[in-house]
Amino acid sequence: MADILPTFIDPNDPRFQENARHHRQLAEELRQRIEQVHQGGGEKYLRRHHQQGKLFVWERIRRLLDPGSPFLELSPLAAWDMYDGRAPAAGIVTGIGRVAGREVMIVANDATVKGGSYFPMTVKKHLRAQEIAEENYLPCVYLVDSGGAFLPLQAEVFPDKEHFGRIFYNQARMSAKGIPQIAVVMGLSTAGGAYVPAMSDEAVIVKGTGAIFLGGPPLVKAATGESVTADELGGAEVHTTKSGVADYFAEDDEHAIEIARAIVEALPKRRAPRPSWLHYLDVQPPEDPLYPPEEIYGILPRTFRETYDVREIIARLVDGSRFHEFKARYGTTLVTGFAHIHGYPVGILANNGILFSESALKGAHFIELCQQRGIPLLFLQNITGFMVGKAYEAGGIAKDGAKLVHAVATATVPKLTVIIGGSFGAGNYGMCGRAYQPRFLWMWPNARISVMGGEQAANVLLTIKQDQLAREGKPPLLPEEAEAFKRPILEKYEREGNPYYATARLWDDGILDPIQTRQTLALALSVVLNAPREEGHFGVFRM
Amino acid sequence: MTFEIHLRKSASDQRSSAFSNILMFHKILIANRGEIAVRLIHACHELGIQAVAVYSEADADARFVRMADEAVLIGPAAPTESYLKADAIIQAAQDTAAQAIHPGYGFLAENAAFARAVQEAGLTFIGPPPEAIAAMGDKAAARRRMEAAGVPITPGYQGEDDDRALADAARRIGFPVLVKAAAGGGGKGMRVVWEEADLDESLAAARREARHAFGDDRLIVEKFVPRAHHVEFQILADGHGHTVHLFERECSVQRRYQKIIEETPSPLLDPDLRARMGQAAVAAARAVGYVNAGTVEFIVDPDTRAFYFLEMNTRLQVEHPITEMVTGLDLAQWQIRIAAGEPFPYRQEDLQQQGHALECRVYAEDPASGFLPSTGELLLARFPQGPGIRVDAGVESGDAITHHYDPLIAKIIVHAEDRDAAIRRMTYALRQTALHGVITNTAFLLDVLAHPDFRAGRADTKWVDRELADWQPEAGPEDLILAALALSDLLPTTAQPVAAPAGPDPYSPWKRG
Amino acid sequence: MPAYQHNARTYNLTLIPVGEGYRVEVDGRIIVVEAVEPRPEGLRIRLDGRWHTVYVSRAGKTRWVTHAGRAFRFEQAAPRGRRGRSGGGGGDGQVRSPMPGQVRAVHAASGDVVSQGQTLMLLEAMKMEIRIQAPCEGVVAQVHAEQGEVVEKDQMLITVTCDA
Repeated sequence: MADILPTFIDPNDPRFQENARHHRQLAEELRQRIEQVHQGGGEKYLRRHHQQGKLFVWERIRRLLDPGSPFLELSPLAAWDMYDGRAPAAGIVTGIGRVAGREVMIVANDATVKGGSYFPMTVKKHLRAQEIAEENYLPCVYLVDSGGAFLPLQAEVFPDKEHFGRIFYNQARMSAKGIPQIAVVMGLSTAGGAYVPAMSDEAVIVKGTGAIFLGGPPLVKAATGESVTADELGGAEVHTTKSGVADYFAEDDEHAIEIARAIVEALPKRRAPRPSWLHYLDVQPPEDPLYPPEEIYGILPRTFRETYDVREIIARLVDGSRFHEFKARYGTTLVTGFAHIHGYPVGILANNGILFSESALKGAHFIELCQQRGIPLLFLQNITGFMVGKAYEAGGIAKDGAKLVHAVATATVPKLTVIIGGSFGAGNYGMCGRAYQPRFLWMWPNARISVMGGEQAANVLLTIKQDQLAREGKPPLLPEEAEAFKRPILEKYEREGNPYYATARLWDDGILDPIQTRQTLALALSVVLNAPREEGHFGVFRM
Repeated sequence: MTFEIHLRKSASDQRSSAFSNILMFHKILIANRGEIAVRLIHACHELGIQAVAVYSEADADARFVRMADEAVLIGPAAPTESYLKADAIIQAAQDTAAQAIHPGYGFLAENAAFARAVQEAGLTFIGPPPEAIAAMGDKAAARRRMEAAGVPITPGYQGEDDDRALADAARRIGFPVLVKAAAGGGGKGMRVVWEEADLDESLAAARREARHAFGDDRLIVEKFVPRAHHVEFQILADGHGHTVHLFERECSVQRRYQKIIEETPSPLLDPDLRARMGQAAVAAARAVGYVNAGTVEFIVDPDTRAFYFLEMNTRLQVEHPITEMVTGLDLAQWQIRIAAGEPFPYRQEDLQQQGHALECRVYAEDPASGFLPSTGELLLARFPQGPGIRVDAGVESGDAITHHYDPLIAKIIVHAEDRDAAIRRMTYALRQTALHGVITNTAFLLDVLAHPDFRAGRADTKWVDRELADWQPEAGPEDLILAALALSDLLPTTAQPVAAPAGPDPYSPWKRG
Repeated sequence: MPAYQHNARTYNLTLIPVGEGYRVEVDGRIIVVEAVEPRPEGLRIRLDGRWHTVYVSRAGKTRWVTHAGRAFRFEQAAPRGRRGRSGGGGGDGQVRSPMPGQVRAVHAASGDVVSQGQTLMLLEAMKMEIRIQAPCEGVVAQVHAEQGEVVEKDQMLITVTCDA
């Protein structure tokens, strides 16, 4: 039995209380922003939408899900503060929920946002949902209601590898792997978008509002002179009786969702090619942490200058606050150990300061252990970087850091990352940043991500500037001038390192309220552990 | 060691042979829950009768529901929506073709209208005639009828309401007396007057309080018995005019009128007093035309050995098992047999008390904090076993104890050769008992059993409230408990069944709601 | 081992396997468990040569333990860790610098009574403030670094004499 983590916090400490106030406020801001984007395109467009007899995207999703099922929404704040604020949630809702007793990936257009057009971030969000579905063998249900690419930005939507075409590529490949693809056409599904139902295994179309065609009535008129209505051209009647582009005829949205649920219900039980990760693991009955998660707000400092013991966070995320710590006395700036979250075993790597050679070696060792045993990895990232300095470079910190990065990159056990503080420089790599394909990656509202800290970057640039002035024989900048020089750099880093900037661009799968992290991790672990196990091989570790 | 109870049927054998063709019920509905429903289902099954349970939503998985041959859901958890819904219960009996309804105790057991409705529906009510229930239900009228039948009642005065007449009455009755509001209830306007000197002042004060509380300042005066014992007699009357008593039960260990420990014989009674009280009890039952099992309650003055009629309970009592232990009769079965028309074959002189029986009521309540009810899931219910030990329980491990119903978890009953042996046996039984998930009064019961007053048979009805109101467990956890606690993490959790739930992801977080 | 509460009193327990039994420490007091057998409803425990049956239930953070008809309900309490935090020290009371840096402030002096986790010193390194905490409950024996001093990684900062 793993040890219960002790706690050393003092909830009456003024600093604790100020921290709590600050982080609660950040969580409240997050809540408000998510609530805001959940309104879609707003009152006016919603009314028009309803007038067409269509359900709002969230009404569709709620009806599709089993009653009481959680919904693990992905990147709700995609496109936040982008496109002049015209694309809340990037006009698409994606997430995992339970339908007819099994978890499915839902990808649902929101036609109240620019008619469900695909902005660059819409494409990215759609593709990310498909990637998660493919990695985890989740059937996909597409609730289609979109006019296709947002034409003014077609160059950022259409031509490249990770652009619009990739959606259909993914559908075909998932279908080939036995991951069911189901489309429910509840509005326009035109031009390139027509391929979503066409590429699906099974497709439902709603009478009156659903329409699938490659070229719309104006284009047909222009091309051939033929004059047709949208319904005659690609409505439910045509496609379910004549063309065979869709398979099921639905009277309205509700009926269509009933049919979609029946389709999912009739799917054969999970048809994974290999036993799941879970198959090899011992799951325990879930147990709440011993300490209230709300205390995380008071534990987190307000600046990255101040440090705290990350075990206080672990104690509030894991079952029974039990943590079997590995190599506790070695490489102490990285905490590693085993725990359970909602009954699922996990191996945790959590930063507790700057990475040294020892910490990196310990992390690599621990990842090897978890890979060997098939235990999923959870990275709690709060890293300002690796230790610098002559002695450390000579000691080979680069090759030891490389060992950690190598282990992270090649481990095939499911990896989850939560950026709970800073994510700067090479530390991001060693701690399974986005490039290392964690199955999910979230950020806390207090997190910051950039190649280096803003202050650090400003100082580096200032040093370069001063050197340049010296070379040119000019006097160095006065302190006020230096501050003025640094300010725009600091501002840029603050803006671009902000989690909202990051989540808007899909650098993560969403911003998480610290106190909802445990439940989100539980859902995510259930998803990733039910995916088939993959064998893995490590490459050459530089010794 | 078990007892053989010698019942002589001698002359009565001929009596019963004449009725040997009685048509027994084949199906009975039990209009109750918990341990008494379990007890009654046992009685039915032993007699070869099918039992129908009725249950509320809260009891869907209860033990009595699982034991019954058929079970009918009659409503939500609240008793007014289920166990008190007379029409739903009668409907259930008709739907399942039950011929009779046994009401158990509590709920509808002493509701004359229910008994009448059962009869009007063409079913048999297993209990006394509705008229007898009604007669005993009106406490003031019952008192007058008892007085007329020669049953001793507490001397009192409720005539002319002037201070002089009241004072005369008090002197005649003898101090101490109880002065109380005629409109009374709830202790308002009630005063114990210990000596004559205090009488005037007390009358004035009681009048003030009565006027305040009830808008009616009329007073009555009654004999006050300071250290009263509660002694009740079990009555059994068949439908053929034969009434006997099955001796007494001493129920003085009670807290705010809730009985905790009962025993028989009473340490207070001698054969002469027992005989006189028994006769009075039989007379009381006859006076109201009583049929079936009933209990006549008396208070007994330990100093003067005078006894006074308190009230009659027209049902099977919670504590009936101790009578069954010492008489060898199955009261629940006799209730059914009498309701079916069978004559009771034993004469009074055939009956006797063998040995000594004790009952402890195990309640889900915390004696260390004002006896507050404790609710929760019974993680473990381990009851005692052994010679002379009987447990009447309605719950098992895994059952929920809710706030909807009585906090009685189980009755532990022992039978032994004498009182000391019975106390020893009960102590042994309680020490084997383990109930986890709710706080119970087991440790409190053990302390009562060990108390010198209880040992000496001196506990009166106010004894617990007086001596043990601030009871606390004698000591903190001893070494053995702490050692077990430290070792507890080596055990699997109780919440986890031995076999893990099926499926690859047994505790999936998606399965909420 | 966790700590447990019963009637507002906390019991800090330590369980050490010894032979076929265990040594249980309760706030420093020692109970010798000679042998244990798990049973479906609890444990059989041998103390002082005698076997006892104890009923034990676990549900979340609650433990119910009954012996001889007397039930005790315990709640797991927030434990005071007994082992030193790895945050910068060894297993004993020696606190070393986790990284090279400069001592910003010293909050403890020799002879001070300190509790586990109490901040003894503030170190600045790599633009971060690092709180140097007491690894145990005890008395500060010696402070090895002063304010403003530049320290190397693993340099001794403070020695605390831990309470037994």
